[in-house]
Amino acid sequence: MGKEYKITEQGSLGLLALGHIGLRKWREVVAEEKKKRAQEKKDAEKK
Amino acid sequence: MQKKNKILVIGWDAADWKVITPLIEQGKMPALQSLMARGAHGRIQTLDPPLSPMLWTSIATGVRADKHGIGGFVEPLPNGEGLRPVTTTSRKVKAIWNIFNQEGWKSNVVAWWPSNPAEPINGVMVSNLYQVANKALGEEWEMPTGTVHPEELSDSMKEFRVHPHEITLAMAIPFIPGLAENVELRKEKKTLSVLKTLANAASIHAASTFLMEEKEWDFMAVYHDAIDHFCHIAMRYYPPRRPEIPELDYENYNGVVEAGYRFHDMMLERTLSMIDENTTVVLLSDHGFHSDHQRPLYIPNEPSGPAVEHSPYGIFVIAGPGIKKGVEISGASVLDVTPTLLYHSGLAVGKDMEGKVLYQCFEQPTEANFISSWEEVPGDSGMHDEVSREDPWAAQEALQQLVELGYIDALDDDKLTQVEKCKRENAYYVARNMIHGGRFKEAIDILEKIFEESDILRYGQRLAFAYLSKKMYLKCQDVLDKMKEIDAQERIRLKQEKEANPNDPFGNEELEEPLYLEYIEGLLNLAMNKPRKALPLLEKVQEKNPNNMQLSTSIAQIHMQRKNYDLAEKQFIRALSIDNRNTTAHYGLGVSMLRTGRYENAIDELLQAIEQDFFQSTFHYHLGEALYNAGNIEEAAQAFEVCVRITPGMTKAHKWLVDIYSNKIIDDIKAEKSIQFLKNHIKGEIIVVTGVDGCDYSFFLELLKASKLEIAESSEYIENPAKHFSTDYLTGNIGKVLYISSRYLAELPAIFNYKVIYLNQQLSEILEKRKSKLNLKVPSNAAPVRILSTIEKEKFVIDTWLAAQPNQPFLMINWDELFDDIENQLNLISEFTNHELHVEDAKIFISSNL
Repeated sequence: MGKEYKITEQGSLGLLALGHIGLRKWREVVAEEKKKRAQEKKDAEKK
Repeated sequence: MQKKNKILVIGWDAADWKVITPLIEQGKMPALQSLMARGAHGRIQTLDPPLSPMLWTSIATGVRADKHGIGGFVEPLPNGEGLRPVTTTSRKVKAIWNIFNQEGWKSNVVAWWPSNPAEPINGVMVSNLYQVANKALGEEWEMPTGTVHPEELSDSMKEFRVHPHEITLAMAIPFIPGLAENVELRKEKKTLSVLKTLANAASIHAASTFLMEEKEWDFMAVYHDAIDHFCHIAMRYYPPRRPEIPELDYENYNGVVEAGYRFHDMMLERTLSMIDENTTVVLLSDHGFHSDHQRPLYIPNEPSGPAVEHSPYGIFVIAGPGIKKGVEISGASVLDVTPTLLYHSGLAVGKDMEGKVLYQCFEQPTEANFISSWEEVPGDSGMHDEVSREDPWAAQEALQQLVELGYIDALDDDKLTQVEKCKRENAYYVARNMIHGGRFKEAIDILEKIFEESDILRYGQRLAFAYLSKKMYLKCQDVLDKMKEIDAQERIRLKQEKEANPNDPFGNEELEEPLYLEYIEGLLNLAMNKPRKALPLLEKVQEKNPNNMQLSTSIAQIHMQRKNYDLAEKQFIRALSIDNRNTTAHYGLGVSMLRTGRYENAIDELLQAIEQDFFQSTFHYHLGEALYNAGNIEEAAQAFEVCVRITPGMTKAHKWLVDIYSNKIIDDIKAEKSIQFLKNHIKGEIIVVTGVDGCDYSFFLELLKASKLEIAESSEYIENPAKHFSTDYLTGNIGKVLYISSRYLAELPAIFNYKVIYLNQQLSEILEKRKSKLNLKVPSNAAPVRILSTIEKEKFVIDTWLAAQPNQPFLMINWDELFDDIENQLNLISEFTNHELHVEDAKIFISSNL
């Protein structure tokens, strides 16, 4: 495609319009963010 | 082996140029714009009723519902104890991908309606139940059995489904900007419907891009229903705001439709990036969607009621190798898609298909090959060989979605009653489909049965229209009487409903009550040649339905019949202000201008009608007439030639061609061709005496009779003038003399030759006769303006009729001269009629009768 997209957890219509690739990438980011938040929560609880 | 060129078909349900064109002009749909630039595009005519499962099956098969078997949104379960969404197993004929299957092609078909259970084709089929979320987000969202073929692909396809609850604020804001500041708006039913529709579209798109990339294919078809859904949810809020629309709702939802279209353009851009230049792309819709002043405020409270929002023309774009570039085409129908794609693929077109090949799309069209039917061609078509069971939960959810959209009623407890209702409703749709295809008799049989069984008013309305079309006026009157009784009861029910929901602007039938019964009664009177009764009824209906185009053209027809061209033109212009491509209105306006001598204007209007519908021979005929009168003789000849190619038996056009090739641009061979045709088809010659009402035609006929000319029996004429124009009557009077009032000259059929004698009498004598006939008490020296203008109009009618007849033998007999010089005048008549007259007997008659 030659285009660069910055993918956020919020996603975008542009990502949906990319079809399966956009959907996969967005969900990866969502999963990553969730994981990060869970880790942060865990870390906060430890403190 | 040469590499096969691929074909990609993309369906956008309800997409409409009226929305798209301004968006393209604003640069908001660049992908579609580029596709149009490298291909041909135009409007595509839908079928009636404009219901999507029937239409998309017609698109995929080239036949109407009675042949393809998909008769509505739902169908009874095989055990008859309930309903389910329509299935592929009900389709009786091969879809285009089944034909390709037999030819060894690989196909991917995604979400076509209907496509569940998925067919075992050589390739992948993802059914129309694929995207429907039947569980809350986070719960196991099972793929219903039969959703994906091959079955082993099911698990990997699951991940491309988008749940409505996954749609984020960032994705939703382009549709509903107010969500940014008003979180509560997210709970609104309309908002939830928008998000669900967006999620479904994203699911279908992701599945299709995956298959395009990962699975080998020769043919790919993807169907999106989202534009239709966005429009049903929010077209009422599309700008400009109408006074009936609540301001707050307008503010919240006026961007939904535009955002929906733009999202589709973004998906299209991605899809087009995945194909090469040798792939043929077809992008089309099954019908349009009213987006302007034609948007109804009244949605009928009946099954498929929301379909009143559908408009009769959708979009059609085709691009690829061998396809014309950047051109606009006309005359496409949803039935033409499969024949055209078969032709483009080098395969034969089934003669049993009801559509045609759109040759005008191709750079170098050649004649298509035909076979009697693809149904007779053996081979593995990839159709189901036995009925598959489907997941009842998934089916139930899909049914519920149809209920929410208003396409079907909420299910009754009484399942059997529900099934009966569904069967009748489907039969009603199939009957309408048949009427649209011109098969009235079969449709009437169905409608008579279901109206008798149910007393449902809309079945009666359709039956009455069918009777009207078949000229079964007494039957139409009977149905109308029965409907009036039912209507009286229905009004009581509506009144009660209105009292129960006083604030619902879409439930207020007073806003745009269709007045169907008055409409039918008006059309019935019009058909029975009672324009005086028809006009006030139709005008009353027009007051309530100012945007009904057919009504405007029907009223215009009355004015045309009465030669009130000014009034007719106002109605045609009104119809064109509703839809500037209305062919009936352009044609009517053209004929009116032709009859009033504005030939250049007439040519413009008739060309516009032809641009929309090339295959109407009458359009070309009147164009020929207008061109001839404007002095463009060669072009006129071309128009008449086209006319006889479309309708070879059109005698009038042959008469024009004889005139042109014999007298204007001499071409003996061409003239002879039409002369031979006329020799073989003209039944005989009739001598017509005409004049304005009030002329002494009876005395003149007696005079001719005394001169030994044979006069036609016309005692029944006074009561029933129409009888004189029947072929039987005229055939029995070949070679005889017949009086026709100038008012009826235009009714004379073209299969006879006529010699016309026009009786020109002093105006004062005619006036006296008229006054005494009407028993008017006016001074002898006063001329009643109304009678004078009527006489003027009758003279005008004769002039315009004569101008419209090529080579029409015509003799004017002046009443005064007849008696001053009877011998000479009778000789003139004798020469004109080719009959020897007995002058002496005529003289005796005159001397004993004057």
